[in-house]
Amino acid sequence: MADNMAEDYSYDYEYLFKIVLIGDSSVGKSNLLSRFTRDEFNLESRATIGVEFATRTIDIDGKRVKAQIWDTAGQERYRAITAAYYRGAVGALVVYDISNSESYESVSRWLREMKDHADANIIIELVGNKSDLDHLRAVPTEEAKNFATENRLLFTETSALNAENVELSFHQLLKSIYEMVSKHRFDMDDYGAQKQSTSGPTITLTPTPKDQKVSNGSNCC
Amino acid sequence: MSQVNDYVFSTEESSYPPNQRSLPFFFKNLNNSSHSQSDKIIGASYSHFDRPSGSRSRTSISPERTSIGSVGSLSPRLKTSKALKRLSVFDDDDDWDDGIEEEFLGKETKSLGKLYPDLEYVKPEFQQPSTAPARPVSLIRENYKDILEDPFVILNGLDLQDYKHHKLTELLNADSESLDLNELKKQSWKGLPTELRGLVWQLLLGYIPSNPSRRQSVLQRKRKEYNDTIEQIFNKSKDQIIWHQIIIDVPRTNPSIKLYSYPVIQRLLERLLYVWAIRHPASGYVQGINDLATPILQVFLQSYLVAQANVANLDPDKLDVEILNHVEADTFWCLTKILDTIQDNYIHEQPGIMRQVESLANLTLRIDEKLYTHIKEQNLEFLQFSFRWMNCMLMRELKMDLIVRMWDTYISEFPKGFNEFHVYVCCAFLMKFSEELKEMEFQEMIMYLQDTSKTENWDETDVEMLLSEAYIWQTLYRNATAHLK
Repeated sequence: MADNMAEDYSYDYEYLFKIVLIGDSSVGKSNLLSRFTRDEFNLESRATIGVEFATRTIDIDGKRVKAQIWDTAGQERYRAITAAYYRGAVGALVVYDISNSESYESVSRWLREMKDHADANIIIELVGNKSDLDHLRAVPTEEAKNFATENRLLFTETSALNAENVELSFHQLLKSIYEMVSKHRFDMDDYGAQKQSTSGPTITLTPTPKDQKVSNGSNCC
Repeated sequence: MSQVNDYVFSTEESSYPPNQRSLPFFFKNLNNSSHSQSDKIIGASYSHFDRPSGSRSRTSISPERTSIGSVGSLSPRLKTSKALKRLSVFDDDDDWDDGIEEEFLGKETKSLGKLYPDLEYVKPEFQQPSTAPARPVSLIRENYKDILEDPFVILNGLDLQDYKHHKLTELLNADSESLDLNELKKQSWKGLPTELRGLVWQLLLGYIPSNPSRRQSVLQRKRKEYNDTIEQIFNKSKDQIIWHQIIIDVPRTNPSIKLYSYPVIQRLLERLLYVWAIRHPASGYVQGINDLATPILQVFLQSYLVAQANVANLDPDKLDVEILNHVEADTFWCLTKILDTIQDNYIHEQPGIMRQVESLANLTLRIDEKLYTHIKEQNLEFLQFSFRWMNCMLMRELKMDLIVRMWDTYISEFPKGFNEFHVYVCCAFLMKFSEELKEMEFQEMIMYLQDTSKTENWDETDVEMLLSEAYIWQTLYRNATAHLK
């Protein structure tokens, strides 16, 4: 589990999945990311400006799967910038704060954003963060769970603060992506991910928002 | 003046859970007869505001508060050594968030600043025994009242003889109709002394006129105008989207600097950011603007402190509220001046930033083609790492004191400092890491560029190098955009 938490520059992976973290401002996206990639939580974190990036490689069914995660700013004004990062993403965590009902109500708006800008087959997980604030809970677990089922989303409640379910939520998402990709291994362009038949590193997507234009080494076609 | 500044704040923050904390509201008691108005909650639809006024524990922060001072509310607390510690304006303990019901140091306080070489910590042996009425140590300038009226008064307290910024003080002291602003710009470019920074920034931003006869009246008018605007805007119902964003961002502003953890400073920032946003509907409040307000705020607060005092550790509850009120207004106006030059950074689709990022890429191509090619080969987009540089003026990349030094130069280049010149500075910043970057691949590059710890050991010399390099490149390339592209 503790695979390359600190510096994950390794080429030792078979799959590379691009994931985006979206959701309202201040729901804890950046701390979810730092908990997952560095096992860190920062009480004094500043608002994310634009987009930030981190990675981690984990094992799924004996395969090395590298998650390349883009953490986006929550404010509406940055939508034009951040939407560019949805392209090529195979998974998304739509995060809300369980103690803040507004952030939950925004979820459908975020799903629409995904629909407009992301790949049609993107796998989305709904994440209710700050589960440590159960005494201030404003969003019942059942309600969110039902919403997730209706909309075919994965679902978890997490606490970046005490690390509860953070591993689980990312693993669940990456595993679903992995399963989808391996099922469609002969027709995977649609998913932005691809399994290479030969050995060696597989780069399945480009990290840039304009990835469809580029045509060099890190793009596998 | 005091009437206008008779603000009333809510001080109940801590009794509410974080997500439903008491939203600060703001209104003015015009006079006693308008009391009925003060019981009405204006512009906020939050349920806990609807309680009867008796259950609210408001504290009126007004110049009159001086009289609350060191007698009544304090005595029980002062029996403890912890309370004694509070007597220093700069306490270094962690219980600094007790709110605004502390005593604060007013005009009667004697400045002992010069006695302490290390003013961030006032040594306990200088404190009075708890039985005797404590004589608080002040790091506030003795003549702060006069500085409030006329910022030039600060010059009187300076030892001009062996002052290393001799030329600057001479310039400011010149007994003429108006200042030589060009020469002032030159001085500011090279970096300003702490004591004079606030004054020079206000002059170069055109906030206070260089003509001495108009200074006081202009300042008075501007401060009154701000206060009137506050009253108008906060009397209307709030734009909840803007307000919500501001109140979640303000507590996350400069979290490593203690000054910003005090409720009184957070409320101040909330107000001025909200007023700015309402007055600039094309952009509204955008994350990052909160950062930009803070160098100005700090520098202006510093004007009222003795030179050695570190404003970052100031306990603002100990300041005369008149200082806070005037600094708030001055900060608002000067922030407005700066943002006026970069407003298209914050409007829909942020075209100003897009343009700057493109300029940065073009400049990099000309100055360091190998780096440019490497970046492109690795599919790294300039936008991915430099968006924040533009949006927050490198404030996430560099420590506050370095930003303040950088702004001496930006302000001397006003109105182009924060847009055109900033791109050259960003380019110089990128070049600092050119060798390392050329050895890296996409992922390493982006992680390295977004990691702020790489400048942790930077000092003023590094920033001055950056500024000099930026200047040279600006001179070389400013007018070369078209034909080299």
